[in-house]
Amino acid sequence: MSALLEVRDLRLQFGGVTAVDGLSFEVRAGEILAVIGPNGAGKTSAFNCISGFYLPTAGSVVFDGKAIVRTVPRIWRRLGLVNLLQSFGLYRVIPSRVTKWGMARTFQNLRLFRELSVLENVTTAMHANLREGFWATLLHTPGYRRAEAACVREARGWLDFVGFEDDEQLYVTQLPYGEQRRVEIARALATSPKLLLLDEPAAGLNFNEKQALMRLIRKIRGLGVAVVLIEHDMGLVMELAERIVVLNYGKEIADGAPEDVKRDPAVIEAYLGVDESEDAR
Amino acid sequence: MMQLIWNGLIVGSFYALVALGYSMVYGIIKLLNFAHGDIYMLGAFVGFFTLSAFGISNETSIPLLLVVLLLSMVTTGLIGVGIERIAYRPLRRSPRLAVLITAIGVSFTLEYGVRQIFGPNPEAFPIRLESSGFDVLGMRVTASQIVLVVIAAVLMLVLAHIVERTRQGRAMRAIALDPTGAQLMGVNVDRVIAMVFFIGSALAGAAGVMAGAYYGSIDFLMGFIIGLKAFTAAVIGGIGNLYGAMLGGVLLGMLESFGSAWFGGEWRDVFAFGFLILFLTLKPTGLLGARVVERM
Amino acid sequence: MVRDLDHALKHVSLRAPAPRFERPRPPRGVFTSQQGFMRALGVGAVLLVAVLPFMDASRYTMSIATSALIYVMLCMGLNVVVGYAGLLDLGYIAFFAVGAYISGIFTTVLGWPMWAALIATIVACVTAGIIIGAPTLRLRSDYLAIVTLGFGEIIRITANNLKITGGPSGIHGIPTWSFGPWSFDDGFNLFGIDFPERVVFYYFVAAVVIVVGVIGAGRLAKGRLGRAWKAVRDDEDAAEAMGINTYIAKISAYIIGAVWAGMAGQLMATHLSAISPNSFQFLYSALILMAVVLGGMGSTPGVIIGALFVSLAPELLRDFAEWRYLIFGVLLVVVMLFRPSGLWPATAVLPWLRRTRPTPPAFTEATAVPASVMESVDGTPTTDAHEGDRA
Ligand SMILES: Nc1ncnc2c1ncn2[C@@H]1O[C@H](COP(=O)(O)OP(=O)(O)OP(=O)(O)O)[C@@H](O)[C@H]1O
Ligand SMILES: [Mg+2]
Repeated sequence: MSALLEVRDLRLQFGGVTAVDGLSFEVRAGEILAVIGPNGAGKTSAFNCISGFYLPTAGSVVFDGKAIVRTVPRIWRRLGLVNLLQSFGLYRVIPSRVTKWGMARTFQNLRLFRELSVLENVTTAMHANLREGFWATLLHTPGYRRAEAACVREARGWLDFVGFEDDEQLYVTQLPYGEQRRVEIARALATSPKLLLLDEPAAGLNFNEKQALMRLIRKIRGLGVAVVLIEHDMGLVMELAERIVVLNYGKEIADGAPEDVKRDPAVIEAYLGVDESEDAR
Repeated sequence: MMQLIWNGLIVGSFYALVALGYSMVYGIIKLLNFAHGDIYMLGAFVGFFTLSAFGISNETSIPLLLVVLLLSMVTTGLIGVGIERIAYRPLRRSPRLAVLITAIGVSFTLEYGVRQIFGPNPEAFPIRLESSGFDVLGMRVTASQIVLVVIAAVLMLVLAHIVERTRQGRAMRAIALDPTGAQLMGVNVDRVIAMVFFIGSALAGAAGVMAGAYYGSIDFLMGFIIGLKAFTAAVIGGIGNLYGAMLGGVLLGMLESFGSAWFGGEWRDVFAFGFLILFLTLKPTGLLGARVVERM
Repeated sequence: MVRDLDHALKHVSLRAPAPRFERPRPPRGVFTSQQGFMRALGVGAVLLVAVLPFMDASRYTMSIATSALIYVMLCMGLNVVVGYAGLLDLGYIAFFAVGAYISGIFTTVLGWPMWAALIATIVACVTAGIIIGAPTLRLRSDYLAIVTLGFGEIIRITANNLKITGGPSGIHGIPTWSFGPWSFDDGFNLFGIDFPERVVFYYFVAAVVIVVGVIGAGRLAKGRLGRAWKAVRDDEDAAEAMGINTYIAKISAYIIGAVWAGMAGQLMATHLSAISPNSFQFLYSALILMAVVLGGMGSTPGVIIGALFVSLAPELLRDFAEWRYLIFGVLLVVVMLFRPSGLWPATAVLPWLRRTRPTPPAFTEATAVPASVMESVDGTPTTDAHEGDRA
């Protein structure tokens, strides 16, 4: 069985900073993978490359058999050819296309649509799955009404799935933080993904909310959706993840089962520093 | 041919002075200050007002011009700081659209405020530089033109010195790169932004006075087109980049001068804006701008 | 019914499990629901527009009312661009000019009938929208503002310089609508009331077009496309991540704005029967923007109120006319500082329908994800939850 997502030698540079430095990993359909690493290790940057927001300096990303990032001859880049083409939207895969292929994501700092209601936030994410013509919308044809009804029903299904039980007509800014996180996951699910990228979904949640989140992620996996999550909460990662990729300074320092990663000396060093810091405690 | 280049250089130095303010403000707080062209207009009117108040008219003295220039620069600089304080600072965390709209409002307020005070008709600027000239290299050059170019060049050199060599300049560059980071490092962001507005507005005010003395007449809408042109210049050079703004200003001045010669003066503005659109399409980072990945 | 609904969605691999409980059906009455109230308000406004000529069909009133309606049309179009899609267009009047000039040139110089000119107008506006939007909409939104500003000037200067547009004096004698032998100039007698002037007919034509325009823009805003616009406005990256091609969304908003303005331009050209470059200065782009901002970006009632205010205030308050631009400028700043969502915000909820937020639910196990549900799904793929096994 081939991998759902295949990242090969991904490199991303911002001027002098190398945010991601030769990252390679695979995600198989329906698994839960965690990406961990100290602050600034390049986790979010890697996500942004994978989901098509950043154009990596080198490497390839293949999702579900389709190339999101292709390996380009270096001379092309040197000549600025790639940049020129890309500024016209050519020779690059835009994030919305990636989403349509079945990869959804959330953001590290909540990015809901602030002037839309909870329900609208989720129906907006149904964009690609919805058939509504221009004239049908203007004339409110029966087909349009049906599509809208189906869309709302589906969105409610997702809100319900993530355990959102508050008033769906509220604006998202009226919700407490934990609920907003939940809506963001519902919104990502509404794009009907095969792979869900979660960027620090547990950040800022309290104990109970974290427990609920863990169950939700398992439930999502239960639908057959693969989940890749970036997370700092080790408890949550160790309990949830089937496999862990560890980054430090953009480099991949470990990739394996939670137990192995936990004992890996390189990982311990990255997190705790070298031996002196051990002594200091 | 040489004449076209020389004419382009004169107009270009006005553009460059205004473009610098545009570019500095954009570089530091990512705001397109639409009111910037109107600061140029204000500069001209401040000069006009002070000179008229002293009953001066039809003067040709260059020292007097310099005095008025300095006075206008200080006044417009302070006005720029005031505008930032009142209209832009409270919106620094707001959506971009809100700030842009506010800038339009400020621009309108300045234009029509001046119109209410000085009336809608053009006024004759009290200092008029003599137009006796001489021929060099096949182009006709007047003394006043040389004075203007020299003033513009001096102002730009002073600015370059401030940005490159002083503490404040370093703070400016730091904020442009990373506002939060700069703040964490102890840079007083508010003060530096105010200073950028002061310098940018002062340069625009200087250009206004110079334009008044050069063209001889001023009106309340004179800042509108030049604001657009200065933006074009800033984009051509690479917005946010000071040398880019200078280069872009001079380049745009030349382009226009050649464009008018080839297509006719009435198409000059169309030519310039067409160039803006072309540039934004093909090379949005401008000639000297760096390609940056926007932080998500 | 449910199967029917499923067909309405494109085939997707992952479907939401059916909700565990039906949400209560929202009320639909005039006073019990926002939607019902707004609809009633809309019907009232349409009635008002319809009866106005029967109360006062004087040339002056009709002419002013027609101009005001055209303003409403323009503002609704700009509202799509600025209010829904969040794109600042400072040269919006250019599309108005394109509409006016195209219909003017096609009817006078080429002698086309008005309806054919209308089609030409729409085609021209779509083309202009694409030409100006395609390169710039890829860039940061503030570049768009200044490019549109430049575009507005280009159109005006071009109209001023070309021969076919009549140069600075513009185009005169634009013919009126005619149907067979009868044209608007012939007048009409309805229910004993004499409508002698073509202004009255233009009023009605404008009224019909504008009512359709307002309703159309409102409907587009509520559908798939409108949600995409608003998503782009709120957070472009997030919109892109949700599978919305933000470039297409922005271009479509831009084109629709252009078409609305073009139709308004044609109405204006035929209403006044003469046009000149002076009516298409930046000033007017700014005025329309002010109307939209003052009324409330993205809010249909707000924008209509804003349009009526900006177009009628100088007529009703003569002393105001002198000072209006200064006042508008100051107002713009004040509104942005203290009430950025305008007089009638798009997110406004009728006071008596305002929901007091219940206290945030306590995050007990029960409200988070009911344990009973969890048992059945936890870890095991449920059969009805997804179609087809991807593993
Ligand atoms: N757009 C950008 N321009 C320049 N540098 C960037 C940009 N985005 C990220 N970086 C830099 O790249 C490095 C990696 O950042 P990234 O956000 O990927 O880290 P992270 O692993 O997600 O950290 P955290 O755990 O804090 O979220 C950092 O040094 C950061 O400053
Ligand atoms: Mg991160």
